[in-house]
Amino acid sequence: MIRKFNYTGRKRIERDRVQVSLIPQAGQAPSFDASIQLADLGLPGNGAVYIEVYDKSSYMRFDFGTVEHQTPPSRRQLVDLQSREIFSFRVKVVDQEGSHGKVLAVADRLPPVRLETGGTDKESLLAVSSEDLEDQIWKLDFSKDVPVLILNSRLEDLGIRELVRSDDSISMLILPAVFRQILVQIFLVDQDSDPEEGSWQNLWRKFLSALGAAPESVLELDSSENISEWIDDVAVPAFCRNQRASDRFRHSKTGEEE
Amino acid sequence: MASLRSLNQLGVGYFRRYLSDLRVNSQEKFPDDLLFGNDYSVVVDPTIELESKSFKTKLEAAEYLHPKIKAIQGDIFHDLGIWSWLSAFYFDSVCPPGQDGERKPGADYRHILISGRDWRHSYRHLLAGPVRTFDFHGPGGALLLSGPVNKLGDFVEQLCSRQDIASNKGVIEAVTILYWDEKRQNPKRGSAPTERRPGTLRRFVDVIQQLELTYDLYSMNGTEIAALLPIEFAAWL
Repeated sequence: MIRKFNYTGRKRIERDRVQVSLIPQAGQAPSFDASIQLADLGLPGNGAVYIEVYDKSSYMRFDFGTVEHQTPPSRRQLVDLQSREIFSFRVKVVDQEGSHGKVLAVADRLPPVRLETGGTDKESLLAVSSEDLEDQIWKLDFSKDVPVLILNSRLEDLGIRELVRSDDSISMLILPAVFRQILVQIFLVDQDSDPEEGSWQNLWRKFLSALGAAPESVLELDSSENISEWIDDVAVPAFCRNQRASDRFRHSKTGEEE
Repeated sequence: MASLRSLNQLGVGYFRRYLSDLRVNSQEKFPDDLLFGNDYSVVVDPTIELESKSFKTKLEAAEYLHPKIKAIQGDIFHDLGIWSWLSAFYFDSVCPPGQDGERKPGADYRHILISGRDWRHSYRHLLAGPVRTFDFHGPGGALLLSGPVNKLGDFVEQLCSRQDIASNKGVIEAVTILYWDEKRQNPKRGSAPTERRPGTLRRFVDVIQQLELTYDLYSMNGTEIAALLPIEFAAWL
């Protein structure tokens, strides 16, 4: 089990206090707007406010002034980020006086609202990107803030993204395997029984509950054998039932439904 | 002297084929038409004159190339054509023949910049990496710029794989305070073993990642960061 400590009294900035909107720029990296409500958190007025945007290896940082006088920088284009699709935002309030440099409050792993998709703030369970995977068709990457289904960019000429998204003869074969692998990551690899609110692991737990397959309601997940059994016998079947996987696969092949 | 050029798609393909051939026959002659043939490259505007020379260290290469590159407007650190041409122009520095006369180029991304903003590979480009480090840190990045151009070095591998660490002045100052031997103008001996020995480079990276949870290291200078380090690092101060 992963334990989390907070020795310095760092405050958590609730997600509903921060609104980040991505602004698409034709043919270029997106820009962003941010609204940060820090009143009533007991933070010093001169605490420095920063927004950091990051993925696994690339990073940008923006100075937003102080708690009392927020002054967003004029240039907020995400030019240095590796991905134009998969990254997270972090808001930090930093002590400038007493203990210089100490983080006083933080909100991390904030998903941006994407204005070009109608402003929905629905959080994604699975991101999709493409990379050169040589002879592999797909793989999952757990190194980012949400699981990423990576599709082989060498197959883009076949429209592989669209095939996985909407061709049931392919998606119904791939998605249960993706689902299974993600559960293995959460319950057997990470083994974090108390994931942070807003983390992708927590979102997936909520998704499992919505499928009627919340792990806690089924059995004691106290051994890897029990967990494997629960994934195979309860969770994956619940996902396939929810997706009507067999019917959709049949329909894609024959045009008929059971 | 030669004018700075930018490889086009044909030129990049030609360079890639040459690197591939070199891996099979390590004494393959460098194709001179790759550098100056108009089918493969164009002169960059504004015209920038470059000396044909060999660089002894990454710092020497960065000090020479940085002002030249900064004269170009725009998103220069992501310009695949220019960096790839520079690598071809200074090929004797980035891929010198060994004592046996054989050249070992390594992976393509050491010479041909990866397109897009792929930090994971771009910091490994043997010229773009040092020049960008110099752009972030100036001569203060000496620790990351020591050693020959054709070798990335352990400090670069450990510290530059994450952009937030590579571009953090305070962290690079702290690592310099700990491990830079001013007299020898080289890293202190024994500071970067491959194991996680107490107080050495790999432990430093581990500790920095822990400190990031509590401190905004971008707001701090090297002395302040060094003061936060646990006792295991005291021997290097």
